Amino acid sequence: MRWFESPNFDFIKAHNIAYFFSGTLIVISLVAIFTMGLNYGIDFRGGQEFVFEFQEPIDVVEIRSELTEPLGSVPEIKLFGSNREILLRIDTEDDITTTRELILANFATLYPGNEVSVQKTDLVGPRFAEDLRRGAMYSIIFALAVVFIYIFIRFKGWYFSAGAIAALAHDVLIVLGIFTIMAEIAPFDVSIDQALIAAFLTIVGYSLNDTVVVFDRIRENSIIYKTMNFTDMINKSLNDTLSRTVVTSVTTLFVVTVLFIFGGEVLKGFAFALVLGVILGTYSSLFVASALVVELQKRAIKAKAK
Amino acid sequence: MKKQNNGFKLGMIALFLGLTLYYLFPTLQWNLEQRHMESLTETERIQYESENASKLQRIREGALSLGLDLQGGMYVTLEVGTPQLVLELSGDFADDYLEDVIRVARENYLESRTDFIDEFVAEFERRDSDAMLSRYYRSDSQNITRTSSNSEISAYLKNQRTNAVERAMEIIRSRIDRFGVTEPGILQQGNSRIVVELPGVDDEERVRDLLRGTARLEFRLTPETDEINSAKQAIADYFSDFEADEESDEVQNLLEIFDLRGSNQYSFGYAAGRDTAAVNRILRTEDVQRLIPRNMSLLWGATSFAQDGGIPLYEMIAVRSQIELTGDVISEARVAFDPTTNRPEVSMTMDSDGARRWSRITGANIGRPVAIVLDGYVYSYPTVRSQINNGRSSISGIGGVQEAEDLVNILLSGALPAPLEIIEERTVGASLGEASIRAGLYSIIFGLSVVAIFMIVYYRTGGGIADLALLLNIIFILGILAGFQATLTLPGIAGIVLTIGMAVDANVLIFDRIREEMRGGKTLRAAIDNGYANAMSAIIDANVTTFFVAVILYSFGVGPIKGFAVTLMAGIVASLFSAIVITRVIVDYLTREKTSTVSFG
Repeated sequence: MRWFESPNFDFIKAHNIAYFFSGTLIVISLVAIFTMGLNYGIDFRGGQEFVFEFQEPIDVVEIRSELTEPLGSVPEIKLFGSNREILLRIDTEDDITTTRELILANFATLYPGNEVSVQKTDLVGPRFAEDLRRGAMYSIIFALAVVFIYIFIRFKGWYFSAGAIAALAHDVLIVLGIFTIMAEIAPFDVSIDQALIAAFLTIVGYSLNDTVVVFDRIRENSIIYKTMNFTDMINKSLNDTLSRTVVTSVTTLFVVTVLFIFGGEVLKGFAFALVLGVILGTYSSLFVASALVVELQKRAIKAKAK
Repeated sequence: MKKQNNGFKLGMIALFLGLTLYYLFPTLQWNLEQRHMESLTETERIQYESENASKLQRIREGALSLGLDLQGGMYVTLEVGTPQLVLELSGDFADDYLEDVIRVARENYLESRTDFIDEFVAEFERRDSDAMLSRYYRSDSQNITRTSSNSEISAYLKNQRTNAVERAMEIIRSRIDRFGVTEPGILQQGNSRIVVELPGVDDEERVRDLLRGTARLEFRLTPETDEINSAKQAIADYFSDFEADEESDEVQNLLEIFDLRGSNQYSFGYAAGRDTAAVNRILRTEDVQRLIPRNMSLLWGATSFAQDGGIPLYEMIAVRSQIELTGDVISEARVAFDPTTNRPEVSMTMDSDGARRWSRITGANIGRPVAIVLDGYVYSYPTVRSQINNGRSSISGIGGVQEAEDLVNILLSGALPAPLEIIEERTVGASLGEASIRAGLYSIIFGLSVVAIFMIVYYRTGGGIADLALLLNIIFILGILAGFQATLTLPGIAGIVLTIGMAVDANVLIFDRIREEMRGGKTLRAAIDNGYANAMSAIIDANVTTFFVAVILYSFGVGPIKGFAVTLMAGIVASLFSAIVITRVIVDYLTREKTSTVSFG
């Protein structure tokens, strides 16, 4: 079987459509992030989180309204996998045992006979949450910086670095935007926690993979076809590597989808971010990164001519 | 030439495979042993375990261990209270000024999150650049004199903190061992944090108390009844014509929540359990502090002494501020029962030095009570009947037998050098862990099958070779994890699944290149040589960058995320080896005759 045996798409010419498409997504993401705020999970916000498993199905809305009074604030409650399990998050100064016993006592009066077990508890102190937040931010910034430097050294042109970084930022920002918009409506937990940061860095690594393979081909082609103009050469390189890009994306998409479906409730958000990341990463390496390199290189030459 | 080359490659493959199997062998053994033990009856199992204890222990230690998120258990991060430590190290030199510097330094530290001791020294010098910290910390035993510089003191404090953290870890280890947890993990994190991992623990509250219990045991004398009564009178007078600030919602008049009538002459008064925090707040105010003599401390009783319509009431006991004897002198402790009430108590024996001092204290105070204070609460204040020469004493007023047992554990493991605060705590139930293992296993099997089928359909024989490499790749990853004694976590399994998808990338790059070369008219052999050679730089670049990202994730991530980073790194190394070396050897073998062909689809 062969896909894209000898394709001849004009990726650079399509860049206006791509810019429009990406620009729209980025604007929507930014608006969502700034108006709705990032939906931090327990790792970055602190508080207490529980997963309860009941014997019989329960009603989330009912539990939320019944628990608001005794807990002193509205708890965040979501179904966790089945309609017998819930994830409950609350900000409280109380000892975690006190909170747990209080909730269990209320469940006992609300659903007598429906036995409940505690599957998971998490307590993150506010100062520790701040440390984790800081660590996450540093790791993303640090990762992007290392990527910038490595590409700069290997491909000897800051426009390659800038193109790659822009594509990565593009992917992460849009995933972040989608997660923010889905905060209320997603049937699984899409809050931003440590696992999601791990997913982001994986997206960075993955998307970079694609981009680097294309850049590598550009470097190779620029030695073989010395007279070809830069835009054509980039187009040729994108087409040369297209079959590989698609095949790798397909296999990776297979496994992250498998992870999303079979990986269990704990990994749902993480796997979902990876699914989005693989799709966006493939798209951005084909349409965004190289187009930006062409543009930046043109500007650099113009600036030099002046 | 080429033959030799492949001989070397074959040798490497054999070596890696051998190492991997060597490291994975205990894991396999452990699984078989567990299966065997499950088939036995309870009594047979206990006998089998005791007969093969050392062997089982060795196998378990070598086996790939599962993270808490997979086997269930408790994960706690504790922080050593550096501000309290710095205050306590100043000992008797401590004054209000120092306390204020520590308070401000603590606020600055919470803001900047650098190092509390640096902030403390900076704040101290900011107030008066000529001031010497040696004024608070001079000590002959530590070789700190009046002239020691502030930087020397700073180094001394940091050193003390390191000691405190190490000591706290030892104490925690000893407490956990006594509690009976198999394979606990106790690690230092940063300069003042301790991570405790307890697989299979389900009694969180007990563990929490065990970890935090400072076990500061003190023996204190009580003030003269005249002193207590006059202090009570002063407070009663002060609050009887007290004008409250009407804008505040908080209770300001002590007498609204605190009853100055005590159950006996040493009791200062009592309050309902829920009001004790408010009482403490009012008593801490400067105006009220002035009414209480400096050598008198007011401490709450550990257990409620009575009930008022179901609400427990707690007594406040007046004791001397001076500490006569501390828990350091306790050499032995055990659970006992009070012969008259049959309630549990902790009976303690002191070492020779402690016994001598105890004898002197009891001898000088016959007929007067000695308060036994634990972690700031008065457990009892029995009246001394006669001089005690054998160094014995006991703590009564303990809730239950289990509590008494834990108290013995805490007392014997020694007092923590500084209070510990739980800043992170996570527990996972065993059944959720099992569900996660199942989900992870399914994901690996399905992911592997889908990718394997796709590769064969797309690259034919080449795909089959890549699949073989992929299978070996997964075994290699597990071997690397076992070899480095890493822990397999749920995100770690996700990392393996992800690697399955990305590991074939190197082969995709190579096979696509081979196809391209063949399109260019090259022979199969030449196309294979060129394909492997030309794809190399792209493979290296792509993997090096991903590896960097994994390293960063490893250094910043905590807990299970580290497990993800580790499998990602192991996956990159393993997949490079299997995709480049192993497939090449197989491809070369299949094309060893000039006429033989291998289909790359």
